Amino acid sequence: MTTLRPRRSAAQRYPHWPIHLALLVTSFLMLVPFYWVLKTSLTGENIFVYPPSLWPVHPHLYFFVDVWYLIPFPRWLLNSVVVSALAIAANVVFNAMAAYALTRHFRGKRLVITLLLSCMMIPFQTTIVPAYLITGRLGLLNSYLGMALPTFSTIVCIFVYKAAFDAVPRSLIDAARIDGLSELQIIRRVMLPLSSAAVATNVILSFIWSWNNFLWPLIVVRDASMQPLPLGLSRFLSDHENTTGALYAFCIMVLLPGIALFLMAQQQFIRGLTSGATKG
Amino acid sequence: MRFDLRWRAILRSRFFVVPASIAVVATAWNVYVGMHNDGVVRGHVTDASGAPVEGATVLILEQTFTTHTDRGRVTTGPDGRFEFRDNRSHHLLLRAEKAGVGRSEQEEVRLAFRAQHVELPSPIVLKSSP
Repeated sequence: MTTLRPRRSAAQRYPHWPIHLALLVTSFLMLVPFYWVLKTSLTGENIFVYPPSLWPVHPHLYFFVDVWYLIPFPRWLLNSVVVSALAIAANVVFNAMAAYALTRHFRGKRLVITLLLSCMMIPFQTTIVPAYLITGRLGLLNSYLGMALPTFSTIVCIFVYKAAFDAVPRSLIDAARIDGLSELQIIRRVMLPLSSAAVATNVILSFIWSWNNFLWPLIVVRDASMQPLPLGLSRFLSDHENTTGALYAFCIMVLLPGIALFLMAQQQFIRGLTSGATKG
Repeated sequence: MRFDLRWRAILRSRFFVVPASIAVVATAWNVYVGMHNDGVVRGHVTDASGAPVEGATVLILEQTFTTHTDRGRVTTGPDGRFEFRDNRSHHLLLRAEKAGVGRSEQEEVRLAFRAQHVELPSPIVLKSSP
């Protein structure tokens, strides 16, 4: 008499440790540059020192103090914060409105979606001249609004919202409409509260894109006091050559807000990016 | 009740806790800075044998990334002590000298914030010039 043994899944048949080991090694390799930047910001050790020390020798935070006081870091930080806040607010609102429109049925909807998707393939560098001319005509050169304007709506984020909105039951929207809610109220009171992951994804992506934006501010900003942090970093690099520790401390201070925001919202961010992936 | 639960959820979320913690730390730090930024730099000067040196001139230089600027001079008292009251920088270079006794090495003083009240832990030692 033969007994049937339950079939073991692939996960049970093969050990996990080789995959974990490979992931650990990959993570380590990817984190080494960040570690090196952090180490140099604490020691000021020149990157050409041979043999390089793996651990920080006599670490201190004085390079961060130098960056705070010897260059207009607080002003540049304020500029970056204002521009990013404008970009985030605009993305959360405008993208939600665009995405809601795309969840509705209307003539030419496919054409609009195709147009949006094809626009994603056009690099920003090719549209920079008309963008500059438009910003100039609006009188927004050298202003916060001018710096934030091209990042007010991003197509990727529209589709992130669209995927989340598509998952909201149609009956709920119909019920809201019967209750007398206008389309804008439906977005604000029904769609957005049910799509917190998409909102978080919009916030993070728009923040990172506007925070790291270098080319557009380089073109529209004329006044040194209006520069955001990436421009300030570039200016610092060209003005002060032999200041390794302060330069790396500056890099850390530029990176820190983005990393902090991502760590805070990573759960929602990943959920927002993957929502709709299993749909259909 | 519903309002209470909603606010409780917001106050417990990391989107509130993390920025609020940063704000608290920043405020505490600024209060500390405000209480300790009187611009006083105190120290003492000794000769090579460790005896205090009266009448030595201490030169205070303000260091930036590329240059240093003369910020002033003070003279030590009978106990070899000096006090400089007008520091506005976070990075100083100190040098002391007295005719007939010698001059010191240039000492770097790094502070956590501008005009921090500081008492130098070790003396500035004058070495007789050859």
